[in-house]
Amino acid sequence: MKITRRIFTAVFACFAFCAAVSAQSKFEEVMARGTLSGNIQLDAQLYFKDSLIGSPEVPEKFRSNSFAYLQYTNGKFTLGARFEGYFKPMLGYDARLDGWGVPYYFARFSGDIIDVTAGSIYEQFGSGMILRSYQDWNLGIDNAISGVRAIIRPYKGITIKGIVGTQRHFWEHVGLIRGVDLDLAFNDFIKPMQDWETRITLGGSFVSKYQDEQLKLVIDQVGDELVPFKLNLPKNVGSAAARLNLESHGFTLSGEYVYKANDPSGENGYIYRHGQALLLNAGYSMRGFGVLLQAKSVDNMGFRADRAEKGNFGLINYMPALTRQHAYSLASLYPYACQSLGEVAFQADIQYKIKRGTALGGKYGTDLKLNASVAFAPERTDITSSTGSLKPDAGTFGYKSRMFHMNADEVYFIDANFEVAHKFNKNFKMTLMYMFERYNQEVVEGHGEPKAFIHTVVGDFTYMFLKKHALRLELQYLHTKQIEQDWLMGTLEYTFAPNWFVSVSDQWNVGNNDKGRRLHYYYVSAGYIHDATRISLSYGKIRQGIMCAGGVCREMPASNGVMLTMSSSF
Amino acid sequence: MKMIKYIGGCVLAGLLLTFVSCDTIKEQDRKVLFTGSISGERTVLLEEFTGVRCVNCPIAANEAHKLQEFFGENLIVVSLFPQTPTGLTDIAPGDPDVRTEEAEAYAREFNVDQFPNGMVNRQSVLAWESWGGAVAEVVSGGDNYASMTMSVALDEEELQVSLSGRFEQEYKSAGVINVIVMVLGDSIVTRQLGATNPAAHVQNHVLITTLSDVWGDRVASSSPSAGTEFSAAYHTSVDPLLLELRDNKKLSVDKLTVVAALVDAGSKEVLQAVQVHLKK
Repeated sequence: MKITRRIFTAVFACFAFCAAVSAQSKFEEVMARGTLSGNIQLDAQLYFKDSLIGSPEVPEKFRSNSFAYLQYTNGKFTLGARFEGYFKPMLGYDARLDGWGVPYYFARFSGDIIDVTAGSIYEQFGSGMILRSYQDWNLGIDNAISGVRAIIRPYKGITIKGIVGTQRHFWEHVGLIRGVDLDLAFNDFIKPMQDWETRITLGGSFVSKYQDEQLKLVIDQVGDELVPFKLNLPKNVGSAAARLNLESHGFTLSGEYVYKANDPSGENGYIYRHGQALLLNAGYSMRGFGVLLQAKSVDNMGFRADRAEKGNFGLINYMPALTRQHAYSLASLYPYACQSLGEVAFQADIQYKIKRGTALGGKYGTDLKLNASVAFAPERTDITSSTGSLKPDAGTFGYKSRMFHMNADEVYFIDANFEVAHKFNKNFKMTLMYMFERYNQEVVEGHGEPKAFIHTVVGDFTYMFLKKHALRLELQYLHTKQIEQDWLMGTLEYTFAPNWFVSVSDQWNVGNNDKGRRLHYYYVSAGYIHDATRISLSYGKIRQGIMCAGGVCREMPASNGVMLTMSSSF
Repeated sequence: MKMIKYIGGCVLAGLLLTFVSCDTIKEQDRKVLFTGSISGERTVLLEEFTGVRCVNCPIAANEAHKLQEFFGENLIVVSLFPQTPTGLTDIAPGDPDVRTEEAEAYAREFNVDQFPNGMVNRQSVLAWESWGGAVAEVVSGGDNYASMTMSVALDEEELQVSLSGRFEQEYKSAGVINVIVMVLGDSIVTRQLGATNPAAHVQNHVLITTLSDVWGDRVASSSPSAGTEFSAAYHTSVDPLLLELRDNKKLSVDKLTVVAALVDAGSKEVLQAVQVHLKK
């Protein structure tokens, strides 16, 4: 009996050991099929005080923004996490970013029919005018929703999304956001339409936010007395959107309408007016030619998880920009930021390539781009103001306004630009651009010149000599009688491909009416690029200004110092 | 048929979501009379971060003024002019320099680099539209932990401040109990963007300096029990307090106010505040 027991125990132990080893091997085998990827970035600056340009004393001297993102994918499963560190945040980034941690992490299962994510989620419904959670490192924006998202594709061409969670607000979370989106690509599931040249897509979204009621006190002057009132703030604010997209033979036609229920907030002065926005696009593209026409009307569409928040933070939605994103420094000196409180905007964009082999096209063809955009203040009537001002009183409906009815006397922004790009031979290419801008600094920046008329010309010349060596010269001139008057800028960049580059530039306020302010903002930069890794070291002065991406802008204070940027993807 | 069920189900779910999770406030329900108490034993400290180049700051200052009128002695307002960001704070040539290192220290500690912004009893940084509600919540419903009185003696050259108080109830603190004593100045004329008269705007209750350490001096240990008494005394020369104004004039003594704030050094919460306006 004893011997039988011992034999049995030994056999069992052996079996258990083999099972464990087998499980270990199986686990390792499964894990080995997965892939690890990610990216890292460090932006850092050593600051020097420069009272001439308004660059302040920075007590820490050295500040940095950094992140490291890791993602593991194995079959249908994905795990991701991002570490962020702001030690202290660089100038121009919100001080509330100060700190470090892992604010972004998620687990995702992507099946054929169902896709579920738990954790931090970036999502967009339609154009984003009803919901867009995204991250922009350069702007310091991250409004990820922490919660759960499910994407269901029960049938080809039908996509149903549902999301619920709280919004990231720096290192905390605010509000409760819930949303559902339906997207129908008719050509994919309606058999007779599958062979059509015309594609039709219909979509609809519903999003609502919840925030605990806060005490909002309004003190009114009633006769000789000050009388306190409490505003009854809606805890739940809902919004709905519908969109339609048609594509046929190179033509596209799309539109999206968004409605938001009463949403008194710090941004709109605590009025109870609803919000709405309408975006229309029409375009045509074929080989060598494309045209895009856009129109947008926005009224009271700031939609935030925290009703008291302002600026770029706390937004649940996103207003797409109807302006061209300029890459050249002087052309983007006075950029436009979308006015979510209200604007009526239009844009026309035409691109044409003159064929190669023609007189104007030359050997490689010539690219022509013509772009024009304009934004007006919306027309508002019956403003409910006890003092007769243009600002309605808190607790009232606010005003009356209709879609695409604009106040033609109050122009927010005009940009008309024309660009020609031509490659003369395999060594030399050139881009020339002219831009006219009318800029309402008072509205966009909150102060300053309401009517600035600006003319900008740019010449960008690249010459390749020797194998892998290129020299680029960029010359820009901005002329205006307003704001800081004329600017001249030159950049010389030398690239020895594929790895190294060095550049010097100077931005000179040559025409400032105040001769003492005709300052030079010089900048020297060198860098190394290898595959997906980029390192650059720069020294110079940066002018106080605004940096924009997609119609969202942040202020950049003046600074003088040494800048280091490192980024890599793997 | 299945497809229609899917689509229909989703549309219904969305409609349900919209109607259920949406509060529409009728016109007659938007404003209701505030019936909370507007006076009490506890005095609230409202500190506004501002700058002479901040376009919206005059609006916030007007709101603070309106609240001060309404809440009377239950509200003390302090205007803090930090040194950065210079785009909002740089002083125009010839103007009195209202910026202080103390205001800069407070801005950095509470991560304030956008103006206007304010703090009610240093509990959170709030946009100006939220100040009224936050003050009302404390005045009408906040606990009164301590009472405090302050007396001020002033002669030609010296200012003497003495304050005393006691805890009316036990207070569980996050740190020791400090008192911060500030000197404020009124009727200081500077250029101010966004003001009705941008060339000559009158700034009031401007922080000039602190007589105590910027974060306060200890007056009681942590978690004082009911009945715990405390006191502090300060004296300083008057001349350094008299800010240099335009046209080489100096701020008059009768434009000065001394404010004392009892604070929890750990949580930074202001537990009680008191002010005395100086007279010649």
